This record gives sequence, structure tokens and C-alpha cells, in this order.
Amino acid sequence: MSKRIWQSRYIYLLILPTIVYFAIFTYTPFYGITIAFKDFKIMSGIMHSPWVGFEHFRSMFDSEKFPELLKNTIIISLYRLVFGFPVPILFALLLNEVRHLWFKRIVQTVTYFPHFLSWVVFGGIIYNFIGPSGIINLLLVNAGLDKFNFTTNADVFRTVIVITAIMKEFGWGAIIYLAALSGIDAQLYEAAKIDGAGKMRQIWHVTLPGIRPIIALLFCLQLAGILDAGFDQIFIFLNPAVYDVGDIIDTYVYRLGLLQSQFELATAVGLFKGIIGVILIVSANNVIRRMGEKSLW
Amino acid sequence: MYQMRHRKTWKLGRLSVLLLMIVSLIAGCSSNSSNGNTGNTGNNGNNGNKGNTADNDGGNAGSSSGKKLSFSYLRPTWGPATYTKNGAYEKELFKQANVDIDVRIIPVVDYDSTIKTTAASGDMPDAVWATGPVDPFWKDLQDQDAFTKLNDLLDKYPAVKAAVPDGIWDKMKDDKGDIYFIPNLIYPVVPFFINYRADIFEKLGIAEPTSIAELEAALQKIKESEPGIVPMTHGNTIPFWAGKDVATSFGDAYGWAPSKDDPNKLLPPEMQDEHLNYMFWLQDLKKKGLFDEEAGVNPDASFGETKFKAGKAAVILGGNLQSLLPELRKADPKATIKTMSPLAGPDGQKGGTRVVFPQDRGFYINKKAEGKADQIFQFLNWSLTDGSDFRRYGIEGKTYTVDDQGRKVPIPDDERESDYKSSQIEPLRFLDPMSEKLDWQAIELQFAGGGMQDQFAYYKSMFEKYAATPYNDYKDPTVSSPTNAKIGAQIYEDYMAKVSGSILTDMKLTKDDYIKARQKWLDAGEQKIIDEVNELQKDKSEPNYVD
Repeated sequence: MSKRIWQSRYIYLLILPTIVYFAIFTYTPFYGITIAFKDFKIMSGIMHSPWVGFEHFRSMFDSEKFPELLKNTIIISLYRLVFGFPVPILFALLLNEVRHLWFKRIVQTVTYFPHFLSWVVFGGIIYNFIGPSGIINLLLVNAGLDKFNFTTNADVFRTVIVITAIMKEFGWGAIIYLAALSGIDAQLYEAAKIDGAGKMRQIWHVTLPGIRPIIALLFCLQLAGILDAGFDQIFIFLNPAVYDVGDIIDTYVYRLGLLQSQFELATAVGLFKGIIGVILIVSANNVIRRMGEKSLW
Repeated sequence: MYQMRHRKTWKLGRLSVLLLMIVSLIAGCSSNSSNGNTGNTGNNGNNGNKGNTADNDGGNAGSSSGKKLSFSYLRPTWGPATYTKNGAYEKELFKQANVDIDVRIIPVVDYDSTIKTTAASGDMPDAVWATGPVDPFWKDLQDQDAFTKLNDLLDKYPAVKAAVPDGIWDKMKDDKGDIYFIPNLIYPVVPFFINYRADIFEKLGIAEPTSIAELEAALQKIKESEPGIVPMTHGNTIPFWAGKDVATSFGDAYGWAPSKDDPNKLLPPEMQDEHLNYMFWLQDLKKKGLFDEEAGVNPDASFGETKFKAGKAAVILGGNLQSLLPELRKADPKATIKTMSPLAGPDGQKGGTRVVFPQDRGFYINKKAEGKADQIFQFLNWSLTDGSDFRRYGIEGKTYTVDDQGRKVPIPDDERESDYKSSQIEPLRFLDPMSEKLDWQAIELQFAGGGMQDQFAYYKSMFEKYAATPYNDYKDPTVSSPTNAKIGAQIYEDYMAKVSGSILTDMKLTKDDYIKARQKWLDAGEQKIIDEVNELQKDKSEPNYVD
């Protein structure tokens, strides 16, 4: 073993900075998780702050808001998964069939662009469309119709969230599928054609199986983040009038943990989310492996 | 032979890459702290002085040894966050005061959350703005010995001590009589006027409203006659607070007040009918289309002022005449603005203004910078004595001119060179004495500088009308309930945040819904908090911050 390590010493040396980097910036901060179990005193530091056991977890689970927050977080994440996950795949499949390179590039540029805008900017643009004095309401009024409340209407809040999230990210999300599509052997398509397969059949029997490992991998990763319903976006669109359907764990933690400086509670909630995320990713990975797909580990 | 050379080259290549990565890692992790001597940024005065005419040899704050004081300073800014280091004003200040201040700013809307996170990291600058001991977070940090005790320094530098009224210093004391916090003073009377477009009112034949009912009737007429105009909007803050002085017409002091059943028991605003009446009145106006449909919805708090300045709104709650009028006249040169006198309420209640505690934040000196505290006080002392003129007026020809009566007239911001605009000066402000907080002569000169001398007398008379009927928050802000510190924020979030925050956005929300949520809030711990406040605050008489 030691001989093997010595033989590959340069390779190990090469990877050493990466290991050091992750050790310092990713694993060492885990120490801060202990804040969740302490009455954190800034001047005493994490080490010397007194332990309070599971008090912050109790206060999280006892909160009347918690079931609602958990429900909203999971529902919004599932909506994103169900409606948002297939869109980049479909878009990549469509784009893959485009034969005019200039058209393909224009479409790609236009659809990638929103990804590079922050949610603050993109949310502002969306507000100019759907706000009370926005373009859509202006058109409705000019058409003799009543204004529609998009922004503080609990009935449409989740729909607005899912649609705007898809609009912003579907182009960028398609990149990885396009890369996978380019790796499919062209001979398979030729063989399918010889066998009489049309476009749809080719997509069904060649393209989709070709990118299935990537789809499974990304699905697995997205499932792990089911308690991350998209803080930036929801924070921008959220309003107390839609708390019932839109307030998620992260926005609540932001208001209470950061704005009100309850760092211990914020850490406890973060730890809870992390544990759920680990359980989900391990479960999803096992399911995928048993299905015979390429798993994460 | 070839293979050996190839292997050697390969090894060398890998070693080089490895070395490069290690160097990058070390460089990336090394501190870029600008604390300490911040590499002389050229503040020696030999910088081409852009026409500075202030006394170059004026007394300075520098220590008796003449060594330049260097410290870091973090504060919020209310104006545009466009400060850039090494501006001409900053250089002149540093030269005159013999200091080198490493300034960082954070826009005030983000300040409280950002600074608390910074404080929690344990990496605070030498002088740091905070809410002070009125906030349980800072009080707790103060009690943990995070800041320098100032008692001796206040005795040593009487100009600093004299800048703040004794009554405010008393409020800053902890239970041992120690002071750690230098308050930023504000004049307690800050009327949020009800400004209106006098030209629109005149055109529609509407007399200036004197009561809430007349205001409603006026708004209704504007809505029917001027479809492109928003009848009423609000200034650059949350809608209910923008209307704090309209609230007084409902008897709402927007703060703790004695219970009707027991004058010796104070109750928070959420428990008062007057407060609810005011908030649901605004909701009703919005339902009728008389109050801006974007109130409470638009994430940009300044939308109301933008509309008013663009000539798209007829009445605005709050908003500053000195900024509204010049901007409005750019859009509509014939526009005129007037201010409604405090309105009579639905029950005949006399309106006035909600008075505020005369302190809005302030700053601490970090315990780690205790060694610099004396020099920081020397600088503050200079700014209140030898440097007082520089602090108040700035530089002749750049920030003010002298009129034929010898008065220093401020140059309006949009006429100043970029290095002398208020956004470059505000980050370098520290302590202004209470005696300057309501200086009518200075305000008159500001009006004169902005070309609005003719508006000054009117403005002053309206100020006095509002100030004549003060409404106070009875709660002593330095009294803090232990239960509130522990669970106050959480129970408010859990039970009240939705109803309080959605009165103007959920038109189906009723007073009954509010009262039901309030009951749950009381049961969850708010009642205990109210009891504790009443227990801890012995003096329940109406405060008087003005005299």
C-alpha cells in the first residue's frame, strides 16, 4: 500500500491542494454546526458557549408555522420537479433536431441569458409584467377586462413561482443534456433509420436511452435538494399575503435567523435540512443503482 | 534515453503544476486585510487640492504626539451608496483632522441584518454603527464586554459629552452606570406631512381637506376626474409608517399607550383599537381605489415618491418637500405642492405628529480597538470644536457659498462636483450635537440654496402645526423584556407577521382575522412580554423628548 502511494506520489501531491481546500473550507466549518446545540455567545465563541441540548430543535418543531413551512417547501419543490425537470430535456431534444446552426445558436443565447441574471433583476423584470400596474394588467384594462392580481394572490403564487423558475433556467439546464446527446453514436441513428424508425421512434429508442444515465443522475441530485425550494426566487416574490402557500423554511429562517439574529435556530434548521437531504440522496442513489443506472457512488 | 527524458519532463511538469497550485492556494488564503496602516493612500495633502480653501493649518485631531490616527469605521448610509474612497472631500478631512479612516458603508435597509452577522463572526471594525442598547442583541453583546467603556473618555472630552443631552446619556447607561454607546441624535419631531398637488386640487375645485372625511371625499373626486392620477400614495418607507401622522387623527400614536381600562398598564399598538382603525382605514381606501394599488406590493419602497415626482399622484403621505418640489417641477414646471394641516379624525380627534425617540442608531468602539479609543475621541472632539465648521459646512466653493450677509449657504447636491456630493460626505459623518438638530437658520439656508426660499416660512409654519400636537410612544425603548429577547421575534413571526403584513395586500383580511391571530400571539407569550414590560418600566407617564 505504502509502496503504491510512493509510486504515485506526484499524483497524490497533485490532489493534495484540493484535499486541503475542501478540508479547510468545507469540512472544518462543520464545527459550526454545534451552534445548533448551544446558547451561542458571540464573545465566548462557539467552543465556550453553553450547551442547551435540543432546545432549538424543540422550538423549531413546536412552532405553529413549521408544518406549514415544511408543506410549502416540499410542495413547491415537487412542483418544480414534476413541471420543471422535464422542460430542459424536451428543450434539448428539440434543439438537437434543429439543423440550421445560426437559428440554434440564437435560440440557445436567448434561452441561456436569463440564467445569468440574478433573481433580484429577473424578479424586477417579471414584476414589470405581472405587477398591479404591469404590462399584462395594462393590456387587460385596455381590452376592457378587469385587472388580475398576480403578485399577492395565494391562488396563483405557486404557479407563478414554477413558471418563472422554468423560464429562467430551462435554457441553461438543457446544456448538460445537449452535451450528453452529442455523445450518442451516430451509427445508432443510422441503424434505426435502416430499420424504418421515424423521428419520434429515433428519439424514443435511441436518444432518450442515450441520455438516461444523465437524467437519472440529475434527478437524484435534484431529489436531494427537495428542502431547497429556491430561497432567492421565493424571497423576491414573497409577500405576507401569500405566506400560507409560499413561505418556505429558508425564508422563515432568513427572517428569524438573520434579521432577528437567532443564529442557533437558523443552524438547527439548516442541520435538519442537511440530514433530510442526505437521507434523500442516499435513498435515490440506491434506487437508481438497483434500477441498473449509473449511480453517484 | 528518450523515455527517460520524457519521464523527467513529465515529472517536472507535474511538479510545476503542483507548485503553482500551492502558491495559488497560499495567495488565496492570505489576508488582504486593510486594517492597520492602510498603505498610505495619499492623504498627505499633496494631491492637487481641487480648490480647497479651508484652513489648511486648522487645529487637528491628531494626538499630542502628532502621529496620524488610523482606524476602521463601518456605518449605514441613508443616501445613495455610491461612496468611493480617496475623494477630494475625504482627503481634506483626513488632512485637517490628521486621521486615516478606512470607511465601509452598507445601505441602511440592509444594515441591521448585515452588521449583526458581521458581529457574530467576531470580526468587527474599530468603530461600528449599531442600534445600541435599546436592541437586545447589542445589549447582550455589550454585556459580553465586546465594546470599549466610554465613561472616562466622556469626562476627558467634554465637547463630546455636551453634544448629547444628559437625559439621552442616562438612557445609554447600563445597570452599573457605564456607557458604551455614542448615540446618533435626531430631533424627536419628524413630521411626515400630508403633501398634495395644490394645482390639481385647485383645478378640480377641491378645498384643502381639514378632516379624514374631507380627505376621502377629495380622493374620490380625484379618482373620478383624473383617471391617470393615483389619488394617494406614500413616501419612501413602509406604508403604515409613512402615514404615521395621519394615524394620529385616529388617536393612534403608533406605539405603546396606556390601556383604557387601566392607565397604569401599557399596551403595544397591536392591542389598541385606534391602531387597528387606522390600518383598516388605509385598507378600505385601497379597496376603493383611493390609495396606491402598489402600496405593500411593490418591492421598491420609493415607488410612491417616483410617481409623485413624475406628476402621477395627487397626495403623498410622507416625503420631503425639499426633494419633491424640484423633481416634480422638472416633470411639470407649473406644479405646486402644499401640505395639509393635521386632520381631524372620524371622532373629532385632533391630529398631530408621532414623536420619535431622539436617537437613531449610533456607534460603539470595538473592545479590540480600545487602544485607539482615546484618539477616536480626540477626533470627535476636534469635529465638535476646531473642526466644527468643516463638519457642518464643508469646503467653501465646493459644498457651500457665502452670501452677501456672510451666511454659509449649502450648494444643492446636484450642483456639486462629484467628490463633494452628500453621498461622499455622509459616510464620513460621526456625531452631530443635538443643538444642530433643529436649526431653523440652517434649514432656511438649505431652502435658499435649493432656490426655494419662498417656501421656507410656509414649511416652518406647517412644522409647528404638526408639532403642536405630539403623540408619544409611552414605552421606554431601553426597557427590554427577557421573554421578548428570547421568543418575541419568533412568536411575532408565527402569529402576527402574516396578518400585520397583509392588511394592504389581502383585501379579504378582516379585523376579526387580525384579532384572532392576536389572541394566539398573546397566548403564545406576548401577554407575558406585556406584563414584563409593565413590571420593568416603573414610570408610565407620557415621555417628553422635545423639551
